[in-house]
Amino acid sequence: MGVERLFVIIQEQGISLIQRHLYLVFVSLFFAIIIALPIGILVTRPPFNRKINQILSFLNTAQGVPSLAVVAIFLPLMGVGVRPAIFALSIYALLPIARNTVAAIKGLDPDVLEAAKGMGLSKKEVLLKVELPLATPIIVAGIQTATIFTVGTATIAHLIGAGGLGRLIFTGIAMNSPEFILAGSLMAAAIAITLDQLLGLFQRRVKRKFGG
Amino acid sequence: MTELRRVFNYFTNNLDRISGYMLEHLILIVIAIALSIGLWVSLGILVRSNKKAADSVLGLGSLIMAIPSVAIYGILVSIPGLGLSRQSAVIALVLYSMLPILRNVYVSLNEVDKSILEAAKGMGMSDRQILRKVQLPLALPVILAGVRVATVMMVGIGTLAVYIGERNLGVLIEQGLKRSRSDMIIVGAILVTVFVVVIDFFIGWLESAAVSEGIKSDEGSKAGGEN
Amino acid sequence: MIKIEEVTKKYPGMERPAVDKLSLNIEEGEICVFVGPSGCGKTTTLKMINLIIEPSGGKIFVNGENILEQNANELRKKIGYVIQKTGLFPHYSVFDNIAVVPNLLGWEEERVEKRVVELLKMMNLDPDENRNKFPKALSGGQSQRVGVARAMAADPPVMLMDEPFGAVDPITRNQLQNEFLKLQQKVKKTICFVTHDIDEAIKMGDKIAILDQGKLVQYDTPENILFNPANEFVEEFVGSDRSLKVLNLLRVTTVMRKNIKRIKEKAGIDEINKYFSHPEKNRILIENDENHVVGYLAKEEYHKISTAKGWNKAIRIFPTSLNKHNTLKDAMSDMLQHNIAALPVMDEEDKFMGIVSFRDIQSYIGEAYEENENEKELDENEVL
Repeated sequence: MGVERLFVIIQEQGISLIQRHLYLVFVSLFFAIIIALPIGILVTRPPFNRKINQILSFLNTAQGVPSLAVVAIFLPLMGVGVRPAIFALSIYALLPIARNTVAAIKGLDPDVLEAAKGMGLSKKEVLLKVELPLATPIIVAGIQTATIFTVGTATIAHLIGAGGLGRLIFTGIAMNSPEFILAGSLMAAAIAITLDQLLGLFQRRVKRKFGG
Repeated sequence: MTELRRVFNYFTNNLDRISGYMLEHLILIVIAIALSIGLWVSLGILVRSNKKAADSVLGLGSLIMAIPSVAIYGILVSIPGLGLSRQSAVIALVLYSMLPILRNVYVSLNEVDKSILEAAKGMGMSDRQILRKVQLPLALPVILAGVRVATVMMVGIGTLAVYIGERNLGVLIEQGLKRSRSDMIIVGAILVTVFVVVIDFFIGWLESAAVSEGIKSDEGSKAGGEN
Repeated sequence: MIKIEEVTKKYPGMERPAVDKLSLNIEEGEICVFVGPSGCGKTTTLKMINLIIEPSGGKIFVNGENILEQNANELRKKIGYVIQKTGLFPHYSVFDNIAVVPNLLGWEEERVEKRVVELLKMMNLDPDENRNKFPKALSGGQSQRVGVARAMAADPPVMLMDEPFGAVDPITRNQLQNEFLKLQQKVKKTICFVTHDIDEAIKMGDKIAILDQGKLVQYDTPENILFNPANEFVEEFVGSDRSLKVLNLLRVTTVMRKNIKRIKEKAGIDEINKYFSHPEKNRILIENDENHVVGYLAKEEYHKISTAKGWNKAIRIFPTSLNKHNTLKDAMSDMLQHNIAALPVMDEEDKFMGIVSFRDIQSYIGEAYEENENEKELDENEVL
């Protein structure tokens, strides 16, 4: 294995693959958030909130479905390319966000909600001024988890032709080239750790602000 | 309709192969979870009263957790001596289970009510006896919740190990993607999902069998996966 | 039995020691209560006796042996330990909780079984009903009972009790205190008891040790603490309602009058007339043939009825009676509740022991204080 060759690979292909990888991650996350938040809020309202424990355990179990299965299943449905990959990644990413949204709102102190109601806030005001702000730190934690998952799952997206850093890794395995494998792995790890740290920082800040 | 029939036919025509894959999957998980429990529970016990040490190993665990599984596999197979082998797969799975198991061990051992520990000490129990008879049994539900999270994760990450030489249920998906055989993909995806649910259920059952009636909460087991 | 010699506990970074050269002796079979404001060192002192906290200096002897020279775990198996939050093991049944120390000591199964059942009965807990329960199914009072039973499991001669009844409601607390005192009369343990509640200290203690800022301020019987506070701190700590506390301390037997003239319910009116002819005799006790007191007769009511046949109708039945364990406070409370100036004291077999009256209580307390005031003055005169 040549360290020089490793650097050459990173230099030549790194930027474009990272760009594609991040594109997959952020677009998927965007969709995941705009879908997961309303769903999470919706199921904590009547009449769904009576089934809230079942919904939570469903979301937990769904989270356990292997990422490879989720990505692969869209090939027969949507073919290959970036679109099915984003579709699969979005669905996979919305699970932790929805779960944390539900869990956070469910876990709020009922006394606080009672007090809010008692002060004459409407249902909408209770949601916007009390429930969501108090739930924000946990929702952000869910987004953090989703981001990390998505960076990882996006490496698999190569298998359905969406490109990204998975290309280097899987090509490397196929060609028995440690340099390719390592180049892809190290970059993917670096992205994941960087995003994790940044989001961790952000989450702590949110937590302080909202007193979670 | 024809698609469904093809999926069903694929499943029934390849039962032997599929059960072989399932067995391989199970063997990988059992080896990895046994090692993980031995390793991370011991480490958790070791660092339980040393916050600094605990913080650094937990930090390492969450760092590992952030790295994509494909990247971990990639890094491991690049290490001379490991390569495309079962060792690489097992090591990856063990590394991934570090955070969920270790964190739950550490947190639960430290959450045991101070008055219970004081009573135990006051009755003349040694530190070892307190650990074995009081702390670990009381921490068991939370530790098992961590093991459950880790095992479910392992089943999923284990499917990806087919790219580094494992021959488990992931093979169906891998081959299906390679040959654009949707019947194989669907059978594979369904089976790994069923596998996850069964394992999850099994550990849940284990939990209710192993945990003392006195500390079972009425609201069911608290999942240890809160982030 | 427990000898504390010049014991000091100093925590690093603290200005004054938590316990400062404390010395005291606890006699065998006595309850010694450590009491004082929070931070006075009472709990620290208690926890040094079973080495939960290690002393920084001084010696502690239990049963003549220096505990600092012993293995801490072996020592603790010989000392019962009860704490406020019970510390019951939630994953153990009531039975297993009580059996912890016997099992640690390697008792045989049968012996453990017998002992646990015996203890449950002693604690007024039905063994069959409670042995398999888990702590979460117990009420606060039941938990404390199990906690006490667990501490007594291996029949340790010495028991340490750290606010054992502090976490239950007042009614349950009173009940637990009474039960425990009754039990103590039988088992005669040497007990070190910590509380912040002076009333509990007075009620439970054979001796009270009042601590302040790690130092022993007064170590004396409850009577002397109340009648003879060593200094202003004690006086203040005991409270301005000292005399009410005395009531809680003294048993009815201290002021009870025995040998009271009684008349049979079948007695003739001559006997009664003769008795009431004395201008100061206004009441007379009436008893039946078996010498059981059935009530009393008041002079004015007797005169109202005063027919030769029917004087029995004027007999008033006592609304309630006292037993020898009742305190003066119990007696006064009953008297006020039933609007009656005196009550009989009965023994276990319902036999008449004597009578306690409001006025006797009043004069007894008054005299006790006067005596002490005089003593104090004398002391001061001597100093001057």
